[in-house]
Amino acid sequence: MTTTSPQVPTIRLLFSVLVLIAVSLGVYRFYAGLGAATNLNDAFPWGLWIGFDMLCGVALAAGGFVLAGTVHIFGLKKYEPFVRPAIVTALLGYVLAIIGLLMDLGRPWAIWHPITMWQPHSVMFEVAWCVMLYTTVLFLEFLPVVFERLKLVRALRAIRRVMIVFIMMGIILSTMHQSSLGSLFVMMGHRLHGLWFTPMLPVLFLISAVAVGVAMVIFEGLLSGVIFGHRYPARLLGDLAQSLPPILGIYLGLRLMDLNARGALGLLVENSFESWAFIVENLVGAFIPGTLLLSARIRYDRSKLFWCVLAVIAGVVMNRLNVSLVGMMASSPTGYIPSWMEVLITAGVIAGGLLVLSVMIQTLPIRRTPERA
Amino acid sequence: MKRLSRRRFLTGSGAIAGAALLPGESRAAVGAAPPSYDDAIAVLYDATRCIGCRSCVRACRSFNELPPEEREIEGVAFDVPTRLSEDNWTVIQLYRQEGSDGQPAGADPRWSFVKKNCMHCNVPACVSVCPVAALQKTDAGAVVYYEDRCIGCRYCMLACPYQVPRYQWVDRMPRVRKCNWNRACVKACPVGALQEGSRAEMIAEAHRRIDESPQRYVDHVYGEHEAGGASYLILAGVSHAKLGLPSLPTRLRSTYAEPILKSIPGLIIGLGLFLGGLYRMEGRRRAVEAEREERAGKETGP
Repeated sequence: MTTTSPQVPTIRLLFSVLVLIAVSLGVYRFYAGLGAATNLNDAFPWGLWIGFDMLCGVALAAGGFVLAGTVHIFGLKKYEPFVRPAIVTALLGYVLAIIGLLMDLGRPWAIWHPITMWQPHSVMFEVAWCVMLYTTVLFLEFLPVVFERLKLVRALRAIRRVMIVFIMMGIILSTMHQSSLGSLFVMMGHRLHGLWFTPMLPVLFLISAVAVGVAMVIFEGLLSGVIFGHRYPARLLGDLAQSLPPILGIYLGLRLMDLNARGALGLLVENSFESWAFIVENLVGAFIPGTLLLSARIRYDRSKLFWCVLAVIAGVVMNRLNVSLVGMMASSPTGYIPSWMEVLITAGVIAGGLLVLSVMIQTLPIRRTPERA
Repeated sequence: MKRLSRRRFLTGSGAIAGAALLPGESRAAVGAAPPSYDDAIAVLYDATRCIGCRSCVRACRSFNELPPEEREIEGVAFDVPTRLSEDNWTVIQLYRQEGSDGQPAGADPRWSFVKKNCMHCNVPACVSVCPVAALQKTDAGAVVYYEDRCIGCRYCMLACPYQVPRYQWVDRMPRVRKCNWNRACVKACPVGALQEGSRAEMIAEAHRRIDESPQRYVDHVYGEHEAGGASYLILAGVSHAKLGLPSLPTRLRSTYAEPILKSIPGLIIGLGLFLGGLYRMEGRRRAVEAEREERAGKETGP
């Protein structure tokens, strides 16, 4: 019944090679300095590692709090089979984002400073605390999986008793963290292109994170069905996808209202690289999949659903990269294209994450609904 | 799973609400006038007096022990800093209008020197965004960097509207680099283009010069109101925008993120209460359902 795809060992080998390359490049980055390994410069201080590893990594991890809330707070119990995979993915996503951050920070050995050196007027301070606290909460939410595997019945019962507190904390911290990543850019009106720069950034980041959280859970469900043979019923996946059109609709509506309110609608037709990046981002990433998913024929068809959620994921990735990289190009005299080392380190980080995930899926009770205590 | 009792729920949320009322200090700051730093030290740079000799640049180099930016021109090495960098904390730049033939500024202001360095803002964006207070504004007016606190996130570089902070990119223990307000440059200026005094005095002096010879100056003291004011003030004969100085609203940069950060306690309480309430309602529904099932089980049971 659950048959693992024969390509898995080959893919694992390939991923291991990518991880090894990334580790050696990481050593070089710490030995020679940021400037030697990256194309970052004074006019472009944040690049791929912040734009992709951090911003996209955290956004794609949003499934954890979205599903935990849907099932345990809103009581939609039928989605329970998605909760554990979502939390494991979220935990991995955060660990990977932190690895990316360690690569990017100029003085990574001082990463703990926000714990004792407070500056609560900084959004970055909020981000730092959210990363620390939410990664801890995710780990606690993940522990029952380990306890179940090790058959620690007592510990399992104890942690289940307080789990609802962790789940609520997780939702609050995620809401803060997802939005605060957008708030970071509220200080950059002098750098960021008018299509993306808005005081609404935190709200837009939060809503798009919720959308991509749902999309990621469906995406993973479909993919792990193909790779590991644990198939979710198409009915359940389609029902979950029903939430996407309203979320994406609200998102697009807010974006247009915001553009109009700021008098920036004209930027849409300026026929620049930025205007096309914005149009593609919202058309491919939100409008098209949001509209298509209204149709039941598409929602309950595995391959059509797959392409729709993939578009939503791509849309959010494009959005984060547009805010952090593309939208910053025009204001920078030097511009920025990531160096091959930046790209390979990011690839290695992703490969490492997928490698760990694939091993976890096979060794831990992740694809199983927890037994009732 | 055990449900929260009503009392525990209420006391818990009460404690959170109480904590949120505490930060009265930050609440008092809302709508308050920005600090003026009137008595702090300010530097007035008069571009119309500047002869571009770069004595200030050399003084900065020797005081801070910064290496020259050497370039060989026809076999001779020169120190030619053109932009701010990790080693150039101040630079003299020349603005020249197309086709101008080098007449002195003032008489026909088609060219002008400009001295660039950290503006030492009254309410600096870099200070407000730094997560660990590695950048701080002193009472003397200086914006100083503490490398022992810095984590290297480089948010200051992105937040500064003048794009002043620079980074040691090729360094294993990199630091943010910028003017540290030691004012070695002021003492080095041979023509009095740089002058220091209290901020109130320097602003008054700048306006006096404009009033005295209005044809010599653009009627604007750059740094008096820009982004809430700065400790470095620039007078010029050409418009400041032409000198590469951004035109900024008087609004403090820190106020862009402030309303968002202030909403966080409310968000935590509101969301906490909402989720808690929802969970309770859900629990009640579940209990009713379980009871119904049990009853149904008894009736159909053997």
